Amino acid sequence: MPKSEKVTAPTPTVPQNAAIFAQNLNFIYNPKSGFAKHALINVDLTVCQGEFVAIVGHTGSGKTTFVQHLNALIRVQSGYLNVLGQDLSAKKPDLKLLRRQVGMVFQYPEYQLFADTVLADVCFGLKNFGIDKDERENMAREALELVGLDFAKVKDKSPFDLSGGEKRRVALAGVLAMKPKILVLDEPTAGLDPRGKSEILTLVKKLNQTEGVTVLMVSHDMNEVYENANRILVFRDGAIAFDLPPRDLFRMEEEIESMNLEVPAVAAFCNELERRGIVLPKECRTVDETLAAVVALKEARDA
Amino acid sequence: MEIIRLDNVSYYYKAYNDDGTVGSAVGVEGVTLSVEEGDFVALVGHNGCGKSTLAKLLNGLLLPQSGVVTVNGLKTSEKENIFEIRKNVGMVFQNPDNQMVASIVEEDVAFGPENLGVPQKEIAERVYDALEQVGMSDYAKSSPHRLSGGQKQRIAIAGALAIRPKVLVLDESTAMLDPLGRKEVLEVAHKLNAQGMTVVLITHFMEEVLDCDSVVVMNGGHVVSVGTPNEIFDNRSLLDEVGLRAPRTVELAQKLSEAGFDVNARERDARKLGGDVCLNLKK
Repeated sequence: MPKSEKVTAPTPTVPQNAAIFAQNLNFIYNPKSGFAKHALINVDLTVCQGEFVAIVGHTGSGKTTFVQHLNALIRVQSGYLNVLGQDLSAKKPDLKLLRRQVGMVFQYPEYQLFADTVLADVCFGLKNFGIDKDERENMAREALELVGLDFAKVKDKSPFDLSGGEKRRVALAGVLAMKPKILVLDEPTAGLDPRGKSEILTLVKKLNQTEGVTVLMVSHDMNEVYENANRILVFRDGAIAFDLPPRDLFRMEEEIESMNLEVPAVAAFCNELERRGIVLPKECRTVDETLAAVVALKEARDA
Repeated sequence: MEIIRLDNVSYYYKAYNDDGTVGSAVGVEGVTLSVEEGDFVALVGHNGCGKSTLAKLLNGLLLPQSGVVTVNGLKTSEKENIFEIRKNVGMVFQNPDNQMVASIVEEDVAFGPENLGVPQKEIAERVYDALEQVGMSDYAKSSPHRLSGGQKQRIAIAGALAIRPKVLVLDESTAMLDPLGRKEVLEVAHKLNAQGMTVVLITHFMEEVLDCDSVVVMNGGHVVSVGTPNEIFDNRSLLDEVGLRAPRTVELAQKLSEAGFDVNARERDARKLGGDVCLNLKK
């Protein structure tokens, strides 16, 4: 066999309706040095369009390395990755298209605001994608209204004159203006107060449910993960240790605690009920849903 | 003994109006507050409510524009007191990466006492003690940038401890940490408090508030309520008004109790609550 011929695995078949499809994805930081770190180990994953997936795990477990693959901020080193029909293991994927389709909201995105006005900041991405001025402004207006800001009021303001929560929403609008099909959020609620948190989560949930945007959200807050995601991936030492619906995942209290994760309050409550033979519907994920289910049980018993 | 006292304290920031003229924005307004030595006080409220302004007033990083801040009997408004006050009030901020000044942990911790002109031999003792207290002695010779967030914040706390303060102010020091890091920092704070340190904890995590002696709720620059964690969480309309929320277990316990279940409305343990609800259902 001639030396130059590289042996490659056959391209896997991507399941229909998959927004993200990874097979045997591996990544090593500084591979040739003494500081080599195997950050992703044999990750296999299929995420369908319209899913709301939460990614949890310890600092250093590979969460961020994985999500940075999704818009090719990190290029595939080994294994196969397909995002919205594009093979990212290929030499030259269409990065421009990819980055428009996959919106990435980093940790503390408000630190990345830089323009003189809110409008200019939100338009920056659109401008880079070659969208003309009028169209840009329309899209920015839509995005700012979507995140709950008054377009007329904020557009000419300096982003630095806004409150922390508002800044974060401006940063989010900058990503949403491009109408991404996949939204990747890295700890979107970190550092916000409870109201700010719930505003961001309500917005993300709305995008997921009404616009069908596929959401991947990295979070350390097990309560918010439990209440919002339909599926949870737990990363441990670079691999996906668990891939389960919220209710099923948090039933395994011992495993969860051994990974230094918390069992959400509502899950711990439901688990105790189950141990005593009372099973609540698995849709009970918020305080109010759980309360309603328990009250219904009581009323049925009293009757 | 009263260690911190604020009397009708106000502080305003310069702000630009929409027409470009210079106006002012409320930082804190008319705040009167007293903290007893040895207390563990939580300071809560939404973003921009004045918590951090208040924290900066406690060690004279900001000086009141009206009213008086007294720390251990000394007024922050008097210039000659500032040095002494800063020795009494150690501060740790939100971002661990912004608080490291040296490239070796022990040098970072030594920075404070060095600036105070503490003799070299005593600095070494203080650094050793401080690292011991935060459980980081093994890392004395390490480089801070290789540590986890929780470890970095513990180094920052050690840096504050090396000054031997009476009060430790944690200004959202757990906000950027993962759950394990948060737990580490809180354990250190409670341990120090048990040894007599006064702790002021500024936080958005209501679960962290549960174990404090008292809670100060701020809104729009004003102190709107002071009470024990139970008293504060009982007042749901106040929490709604200021955009806060009781921990979920407490909220569920309150609502179950209101719905006629025989449970402790202040229950903090979700499993215990689940067990009690079962007893109710099986009656």
